[in-house]
This record gives sequence, structure tokens and C-alpha cells, in this order.
Amino acid sequence: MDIFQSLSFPLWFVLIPFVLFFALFLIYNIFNMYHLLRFGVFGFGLYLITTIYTLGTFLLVCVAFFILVQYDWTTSVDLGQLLAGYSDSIFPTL
Amino acid sequence: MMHLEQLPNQRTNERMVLFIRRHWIAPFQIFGIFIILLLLPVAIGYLFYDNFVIWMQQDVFGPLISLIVIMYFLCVWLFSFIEFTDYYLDTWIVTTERIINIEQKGLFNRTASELQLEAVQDVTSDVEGVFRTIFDYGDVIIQTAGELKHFHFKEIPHPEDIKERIIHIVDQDREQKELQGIRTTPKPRLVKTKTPE
Repeated sequence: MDIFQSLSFPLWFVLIPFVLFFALFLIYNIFNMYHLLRFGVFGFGLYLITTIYTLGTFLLVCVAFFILVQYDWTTSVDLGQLLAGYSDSIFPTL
Repeated sequence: MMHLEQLPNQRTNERMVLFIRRHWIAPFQIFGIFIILLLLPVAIGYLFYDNFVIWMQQDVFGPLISLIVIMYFLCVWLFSFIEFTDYYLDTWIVTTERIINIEQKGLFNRTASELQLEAVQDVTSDVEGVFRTIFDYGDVIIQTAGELKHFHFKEIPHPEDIKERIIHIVDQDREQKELQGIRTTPKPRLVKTKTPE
């Protein structure tokens, strides 16, 4: 526990795996769209599906962005304080 | 993009007779699972509402929970659409000359094969189970002459009708080829129908 007490890091560190995940999400999206446009059958149905897919993805990404910008990512996370202090407050209603 | 009026390697006088996708129950299942997965975190949030409000107000847990929830929804959206793409790109086309089988397996595996109508020897329709009988969908299996290869139309609507239509198209093609003096495989063939008793 003493080791953890001296450890602290800025909160934005947790954004690193998120950015990696998001990059994968975008790559898969591009592949999916490519498959639809390359091999799909030409017609209104295909345009409808690609439009819904693009708009849905855009909407989700925008919502995610606006949620995440609300937080102060420069906050320092102290592991010792986190482990000691949150144990009582994590399930306050139980 | 594939144009149905201009199929790959289309011959003169060849025209499309059937364009088949899986039954609507397949995208309905994908949509159903998508809705359940969307509602799952909402239900969990509702069950632990008091704890959830307190967690979200904390400097560290608030952003962490938001990140996890965002990643979850992005995953649900992405995998639902990958599943839908898999359904949408699985197609079977029957023309006056051949049968084209296009199957998408995930994002990185795609099989496209074709079969000449004169090679068709055995057509089987298979409707198994109460659900499939009620909604009239099932499989049609087309076996070729002298080969182990077969085409499997999976979960297609009205398999009985489609089997009959394929047999009719194959017979027409055979008669036409015989009139033109082209040798085809022997006419008699086994036609099976498998339905629940």
C-alpha cells in the first residue's frame, strides 16, 4: 500500500487506451463502409443503409466528444488516496 | 457496387430470375439484440441509480465510467452493423444460365462462386422447426452433378417455392440446350423435400 501512496498520474493517461480503441473503431468503420459500397447491390436500400450508418456513427462520436470535454482531464489521480478514500464512499447506499 | 442489370461475366441473353437474401427474421434478430444491448446499461444505471449519481460526481470515477460507457455503446453500434453487413452482403442470384452464390463471412472473408444450371442435379428444401414453419423460411441445398460441391441457400424465405422455381428454370435451360444440340447432364434427378411431420 505504501508504494501506491506515492503513485500519482494525470487523469488524461486513461485517454491513451481510449484513443487506441477509437482508432480501431474508425478503421473497422471504414472497412465496413468499404464492404457495403464495394459489394452492396446498387439501389435506394444501399444508400439508405450507408446514410443511417454514417449519420449514426457521426452522432455517436459527437455525443462522446461532448461528454468527454466536460471533464477536467488534468486532475491528478493519487492511487493511495484512491484506494483508501474511495473504499467508504464507493457503495454509500449499501 | 454490384448492378443487378450488369452481373459479373454476364452472357448475352442472360437475365436475372431470382435475387435472394436471408429471411427478414435475420436482420430482425440483429436489431433485437442491438436494442437489448442498448437498454442493458440503462437498466443497470436505473437499478444502481443512487450509487451511479455519486460515482458520476467524483473527479476520477465520473470520467472513467463515462469512458467505459462510451466504449460500450461504440462497440454495440459497430458490431451490430458488422453483423448487418454480413446479412446484407449474403446474396444468391439465379439467372437463366447460372446460380451465383455470394457469401460474406465477417469483414475479411468473402466467397463468390457460380454454378452452371446444366450441372444442377439435386435440389433440396429444408424447413425444420416450429419457428421456421410458422414464418415459412428455411434452407435450399443445390447439389451439382459428379462433384462434392453444393450451394447452400441459408434461411431464405419461401424455400419450397424457390426450390420449385429453380427446378423449373433448370428444366427450361436443359430443354433449350437440347434443342440447340448441346449435351447436358442426364435429366432424371432426385428432388427431396424435408419438412417437419
